[in-house]
Amino acid sequence: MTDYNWFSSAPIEAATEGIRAEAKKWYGFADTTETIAQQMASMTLQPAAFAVIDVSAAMTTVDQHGAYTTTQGWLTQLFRDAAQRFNELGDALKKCANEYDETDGRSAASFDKIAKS
Amino acid sequence: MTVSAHLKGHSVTSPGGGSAYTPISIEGFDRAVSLVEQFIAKIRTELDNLISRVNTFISNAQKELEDSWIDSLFEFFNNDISEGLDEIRQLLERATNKISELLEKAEKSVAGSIAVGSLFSRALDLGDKINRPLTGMYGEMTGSGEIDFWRGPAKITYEKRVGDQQNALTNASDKVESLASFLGDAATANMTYMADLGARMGEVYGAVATTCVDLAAASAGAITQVMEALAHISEVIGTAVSQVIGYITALGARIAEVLNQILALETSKSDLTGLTPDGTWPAPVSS
Repeated sequence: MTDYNWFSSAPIEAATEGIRAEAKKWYGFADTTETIAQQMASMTLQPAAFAVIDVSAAMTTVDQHGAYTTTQGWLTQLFRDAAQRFNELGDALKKCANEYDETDGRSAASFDKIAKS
Repeated sequence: MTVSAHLKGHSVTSPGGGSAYTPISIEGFDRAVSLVEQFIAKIRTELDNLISRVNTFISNAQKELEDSWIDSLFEFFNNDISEGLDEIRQLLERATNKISELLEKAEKSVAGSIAVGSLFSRALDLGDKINRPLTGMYGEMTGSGEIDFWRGPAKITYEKRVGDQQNALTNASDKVESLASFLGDAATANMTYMADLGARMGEVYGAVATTCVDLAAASAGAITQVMEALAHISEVIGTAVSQVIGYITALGARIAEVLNQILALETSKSDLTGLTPDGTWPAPVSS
């Protein structure tokens, strides 16, 4: 049995289709994560939500509400970042597919170099 | 009863689906609040009864006292009776003040409890609307199929970058779980307090109602008996009230509890494994 020729036309065609499908997948992740970020942003809580026990101690209510709000805000931003990163990954993959189409799958450029081209 | 009958009113779906289950226990908090509200109303009614009965008793006893003024032989005892009635008035005032204090705290707690359910529902939302779709992507990030025809250094780099994204996702999921736990802890403390308040209100209601029954049966001359009944009720109410007030005003312990909860959340947030050193999402393309 001879070695499989990864660089014949059929596998290269399959690879570029696979890479484009992979790019589409990451765009889908970006959409999902953007929705997650929007959900996270909407999950606000009023200080009163923490206040039952603290009718005589507003201090702890302020702290609990502050800790929640800070974390909620941080996670919202983190998910927005993630959505942007997933789009970047999709873009990078599209460029990789185009690069392989143009070089018969024999490009020596690195992933980062292709992505930034 | 069939399983579907058991599940009626609660949507149960596959783990990948939407909102899975609304715990029946959340309604338990509403019931605890409702119980406290009922006790507030009942205690008010019984307190009015108590005041009315004590006043009737004092009025009857005073009438007998005035009648007996005619006979100077009983003057000495009349003074005793007069002092006894004064003490009854003081005991009633003490009990009324303590009950009023308890009712005031209970009313404030009930008024502030409207939003507490949101702590539980937010914690559930964090799992359902954030963590479920977030972690659902993890497995799909590792591509397979036609992508396996891709060969070369760029593919190796891509796989490493996918691993970076998965690590970041795992970390973010941990943070979401920590935030849900934080809300759960805050809600638990409030739930415990409300249930405890309901139990204490029940004790006070029982004590006031029993005393009302005792007073109804007391004759005009039974001053000692009435004094003992009021002293007893004052003691029971005093214990219940001091426990509730003590729970609220144990500020040091409460602050320590809250700080520990915040510390746990912040400690979780300080773990940046999989994220960048400044706590942002890792870039898939190296600059």
